[in-house]
Amino acid sequence: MEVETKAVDKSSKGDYDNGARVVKRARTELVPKEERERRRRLKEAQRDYGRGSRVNVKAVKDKKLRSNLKSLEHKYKEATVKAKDAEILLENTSGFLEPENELERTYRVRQEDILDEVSIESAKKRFELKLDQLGPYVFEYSRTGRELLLAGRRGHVATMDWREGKLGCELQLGETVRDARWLHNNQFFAVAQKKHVYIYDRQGVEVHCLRKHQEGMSGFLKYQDVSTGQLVTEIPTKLGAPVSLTQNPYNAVLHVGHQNGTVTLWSPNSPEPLVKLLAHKGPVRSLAVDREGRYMVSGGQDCKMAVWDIRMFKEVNNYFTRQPASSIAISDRGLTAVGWGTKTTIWKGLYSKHAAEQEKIQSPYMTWGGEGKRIERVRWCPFEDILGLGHDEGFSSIIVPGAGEPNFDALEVNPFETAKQRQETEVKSLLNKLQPEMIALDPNFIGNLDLRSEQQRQAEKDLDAKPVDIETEIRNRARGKNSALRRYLRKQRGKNIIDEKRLKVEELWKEQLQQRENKQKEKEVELGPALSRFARKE
Amino acid sequence: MPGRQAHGRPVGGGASTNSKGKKRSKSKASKKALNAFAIASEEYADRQKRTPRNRELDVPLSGGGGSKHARDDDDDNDEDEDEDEGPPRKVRRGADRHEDVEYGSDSSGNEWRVGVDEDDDSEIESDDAFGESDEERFEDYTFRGSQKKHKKENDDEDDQDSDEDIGDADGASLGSDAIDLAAALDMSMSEDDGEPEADEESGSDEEESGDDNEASGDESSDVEGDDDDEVSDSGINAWVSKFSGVKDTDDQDVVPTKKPKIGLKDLGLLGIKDPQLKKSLKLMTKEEKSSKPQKLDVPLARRQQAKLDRTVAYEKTKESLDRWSETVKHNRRADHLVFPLPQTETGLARHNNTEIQPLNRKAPGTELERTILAIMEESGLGPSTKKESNKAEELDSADADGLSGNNLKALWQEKRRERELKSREDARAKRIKKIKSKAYHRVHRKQRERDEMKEHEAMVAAGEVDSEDEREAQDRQRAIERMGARHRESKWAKTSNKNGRAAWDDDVRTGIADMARRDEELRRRIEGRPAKTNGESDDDSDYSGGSDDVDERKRLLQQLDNVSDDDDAPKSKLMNMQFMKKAEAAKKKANDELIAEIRRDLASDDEAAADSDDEPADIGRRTFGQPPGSKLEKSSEQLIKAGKKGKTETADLQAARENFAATKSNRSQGLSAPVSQDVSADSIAGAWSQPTVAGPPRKQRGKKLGSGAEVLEIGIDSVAIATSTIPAKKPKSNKKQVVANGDDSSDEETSHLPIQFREQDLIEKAFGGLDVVAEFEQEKAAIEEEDDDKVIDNTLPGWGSWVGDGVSNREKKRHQGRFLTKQEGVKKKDRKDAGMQNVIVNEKRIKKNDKFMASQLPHPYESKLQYERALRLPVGPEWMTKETFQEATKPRILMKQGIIAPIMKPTH
Repeated sequence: MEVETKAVDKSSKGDYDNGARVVKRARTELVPKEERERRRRLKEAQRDYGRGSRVNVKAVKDKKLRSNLKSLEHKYKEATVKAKDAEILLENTSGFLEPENELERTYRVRQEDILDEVSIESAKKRFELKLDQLGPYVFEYSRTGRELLLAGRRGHVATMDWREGKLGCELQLGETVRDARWLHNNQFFAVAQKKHVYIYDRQGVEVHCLRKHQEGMSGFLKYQDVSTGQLVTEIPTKLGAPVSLTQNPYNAVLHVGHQNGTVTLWSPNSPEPLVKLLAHKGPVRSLAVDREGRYMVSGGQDCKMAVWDIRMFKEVNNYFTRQPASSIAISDRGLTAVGWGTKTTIWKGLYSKHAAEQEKIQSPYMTWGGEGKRIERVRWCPFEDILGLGHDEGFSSIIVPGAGEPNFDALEVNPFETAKQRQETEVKSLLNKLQPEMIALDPNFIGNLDLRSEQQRQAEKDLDAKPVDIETEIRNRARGKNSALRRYLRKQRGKNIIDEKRLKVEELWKEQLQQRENKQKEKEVELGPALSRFARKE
Repeated sequence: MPGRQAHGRPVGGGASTNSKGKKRSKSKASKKALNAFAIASEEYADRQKRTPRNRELDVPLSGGGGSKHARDDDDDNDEDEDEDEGPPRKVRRGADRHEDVEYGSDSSGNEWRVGVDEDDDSEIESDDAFGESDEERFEDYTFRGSQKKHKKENDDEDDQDSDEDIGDADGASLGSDAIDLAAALDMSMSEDDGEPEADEESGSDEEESGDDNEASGDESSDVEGDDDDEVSDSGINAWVSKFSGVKDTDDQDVVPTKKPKIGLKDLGLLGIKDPQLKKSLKLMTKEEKSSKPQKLDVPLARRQQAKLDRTVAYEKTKESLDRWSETVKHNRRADHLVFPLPQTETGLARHNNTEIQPLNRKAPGTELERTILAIMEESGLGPSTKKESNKAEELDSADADGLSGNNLKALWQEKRRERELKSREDARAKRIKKIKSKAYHRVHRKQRERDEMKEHEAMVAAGEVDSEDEREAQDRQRAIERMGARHRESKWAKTSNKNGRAAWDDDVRTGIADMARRDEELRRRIEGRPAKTNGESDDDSDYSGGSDDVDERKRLLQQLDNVSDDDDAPKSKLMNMQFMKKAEAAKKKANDELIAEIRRDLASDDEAAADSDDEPADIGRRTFGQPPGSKLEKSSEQLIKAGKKGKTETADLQAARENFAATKSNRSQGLSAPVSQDVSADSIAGAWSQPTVAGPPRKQRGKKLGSGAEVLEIGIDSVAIATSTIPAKKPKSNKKQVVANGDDSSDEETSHLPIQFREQDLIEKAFGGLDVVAEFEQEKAAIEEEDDDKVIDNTLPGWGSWVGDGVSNREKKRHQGRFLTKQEGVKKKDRKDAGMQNVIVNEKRIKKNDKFMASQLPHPYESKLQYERALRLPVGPEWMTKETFQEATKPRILMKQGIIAPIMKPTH
């Protein structure tokens, strides 16, 4: 019958797939070329600089709101388009090694080959530091990429301007150094030593000893505010001593790798991890997050390297390393350096943010090592095509074409900043400092609507909290022009709101007036009838 | 009332103002045309009796153009001549007042005469000035002064009385010097603007007019005394109509339009000797003779005029100011304003940005245009040619119309009928569709089948059957029928699902059950297993015709299973009793024995069948991977035995792992296939191969172990296989790893391969024991459980029940869970990590973040989306280009130094 056949047709359509794709918005009308070009440009701008999808302005009922939103959307659009247009101002471009034919492999290219080709100035950036006495070295570039902090396991700490080859300071601490890091700029650095964490200034003078960060309390995550010096939180991870730790530069969430193969994501505001991933079957030896906070690469003791999409919390790909990766770093341009054993491999395109399907890379971009130097740490130098390698024989700096961000944003980090600029940046950054409470998985949550119902909110309110005592509140700051009482009166007298607090305040005020008058009288009496007029009025 | 005493004015003086009044009367007439009520009343007025009295009274009313306007004017006139026509006014104003009754008695006195002039002159009350028509017009307005005036009315009353008295006093007679009322009114009207003092000065005229008017005033006053109470609330018209004898409530608005003027004859004043009067008479006759109405309207009262002027002026001003509104709006809405405004910069040549007009014949402006036009015309593209062709077309069409004028109509009709028929058919089809009755469908289907059969037979007879296409078509047809309309995606299923009809509609429920059954069958067919045949409806019997006895056996087994399953049904209280239980047990035992017997029989049959032909080949979709061969099964059987006998340590470990995997996901059922051993990696066994793999062991179990079919046993099987086939697994895993290893693609490193994989194996072994996956899953499950909805027992022991020693368990149990509260949590399916593998997302709210969130939607926004979108606009220079930043932070008003010229006047 008619009915049945129809139904069947429908179902068969659903089942049968001939490989043809359904185009959702077929282009039926002719569009002029420049219009097409414009649209394409807009789309790209939206993709690169867009801030979310637009709201449906047409559905807004309120006229004023509608026009306001319309102008807002227009502003958004303008901003994205202009940002895209401003790309032509980025004069430096990055380029990668490219094979000329199928037989050529980029990972076969040796450093010597590159050195022959690059300019002398660039070639100078490839260097080796032979420091084989004081054990495997960990190191850190400053945010501008100018200075290098080296720390040998056996207590050797040094800072240097690596381009000039100028030593900043050198310390022989004489005890185990576990790690070392620059603080917000090149003025201070922190060193995790045998027992405590110490902070030194650029001359190598010990400034602080952070006794709260001590040996033996493994598995505790401690947040210390380095601008105020206060310990923000202390969270027990309850997962034993962590094996690896890194920070997501996008949302300041900490990623901690544990012995049991899990990676936990922490913010200082939650006593429990925000997210817990099972990335590996063995301990997670190293972690790295790309600068946009989209992907995480982790290396485990089980000789696996996992690429995770940390917004969807989905494993993208899984690679095999011949030895457990001791250190992983992701460059600004998305190159991933993996140090394992005595070797370092550099991968290109482990992930691509615009691709719908992440492809699995078959071969690395570059390799280095195999000369018996056990790699301790790999780090990319900011704004340079340089990869630093700390190993048991010192430090090596190698050239990796296409690794660094060629164009810097001086409002963020200026690699050529003067001392004055550095000072200004410091002040500015202090002014712009975000509070630790603002750290969350989604950094854009601030100002968003709290979706809890009123009922829920009431339920969650602390019912045992003491009621606020108005009197003590007012008396807390009792002196001066800005005493709580005066301030309150100044602000509230004009308003016609009579509540409990107001009444109380009035009473207090009267009381004070009375007191003052009494005092005055006393004074006058004291001075006697002749001199009473000189009594000072308050 | 300054406007009222206008007696000093000459008659001619009114003429100039009259012209204006005339004009207005015209406009008023048109206005009246809109006023249906006025029209109606006008018509009604025609029926009035034309008594001389009435006529007399009507004259002044029809004095002006006889329109509503005229009535307006008359009202004014009345006011103006207050002294003469006191009573009517009195009536109008004081109709609803109580004191009116006293009026009559008052009217007899003469004491008020002295105050007349002063009072009359000094007061025009706003109420009086506010004529009736005006009241209509300004219904919505409230005048500030009016309220006060109303209050004053009481006081004024006396004055009005005095007005009337004047009439009485002066009323000598309707003497010889009476003139046309209209003329008299005109005269008095023209003196509106006169000063109050002029009153006394203009002696004779005033007196005269007083005399003239006394006629009406006199009479009215007489009547007034009698029927004061009856006087209605309307104005002068009511009063007039009362005299005319028509007792209608409606006639208050009656405006007699064109009534014959009262001639001299009517008044009986033919012989007039007064030269002045004669003069005016002459004028009057002249007027009458001339075709055009030469007499001009009575000018309005000054106040009224002023008011009208003000309205007009207001409108004009408004109009001129409204021109600015666009400018103001624009400036208000502008994001930025720069003064001086760009418009005032005059130096720039304003280019003409109007659109280029299409070429037309009339004005080909430039030479170029002209030439182009010429060219176009030459080539037949010009506007003229087009017009011609159009004309030709029109002609053609007209011709066609003319020819087929009748035909067209017929065609129309036909089309309409067709359309109607079609829609009717559609409607019918819909109705048929809606009929869900099985019987109906069956009947029709049978009918159709019969027809088809007949056709087929005919075709066979003709010898044109059995082509390939034919057969396929038939097959297709059958398949379609089998699937039926009630499949899962059908409209029917959706609607029934959505409405929850299954809850109450038995028909739907059976339909759904049917649907599910068919679905299952189809799937089974696809998988190559025979369809379950229990509960088969007659509709589907056609395809199950070829079922062999094997199927039959299976079906029986199935039924048996069902029967045995049914045993543990919930029992009633009666059944819980001891003796019933015993009886039940006895019965059950007997039944079980019976079932076992049947099973045995069947099993023996099965074995025999299996021996005779390897497998009843169920044809279905082809499956790849592990074929369910009997050899392998046998081997696995052996392995089972081996596994049962001696469980080695490693096997134990593995078993635990496998077991876990097996319970975790059904995917791991594929583990029983020795090839797909890799536990950690994605299992190879796809969904397709799954049932076939799972099938054979079950059958065997059915033979060996009886009815119990546990999943656990699969685990044991697979463990055994896994332990035995470790070497076999190697090449496979190698193959997989090649893909995974980027390092290995280089040729120099190929030599490392074996070592590497040995390493990998070692790693597998090393971390295999950790079982982090299982731990993680357990943790996730625990957290899910914790976050889920919870039922909390708030029962306090000792409240409402006894506690302590000696309280029976039953009693304790009875009081458990009496006060339960449900705590809302995050349901498992609503979790953020629902369906994610290896991820636990914390569902707890982070309280510290709350203080940065908005507690409610701020005012202008209608939705969260809008609000949050508005928040996200970048502000700082770090996040946008300099241009955007400057644009965003630019002040709203920028002023250049120097003189800022005013905004230019809008030109439109």
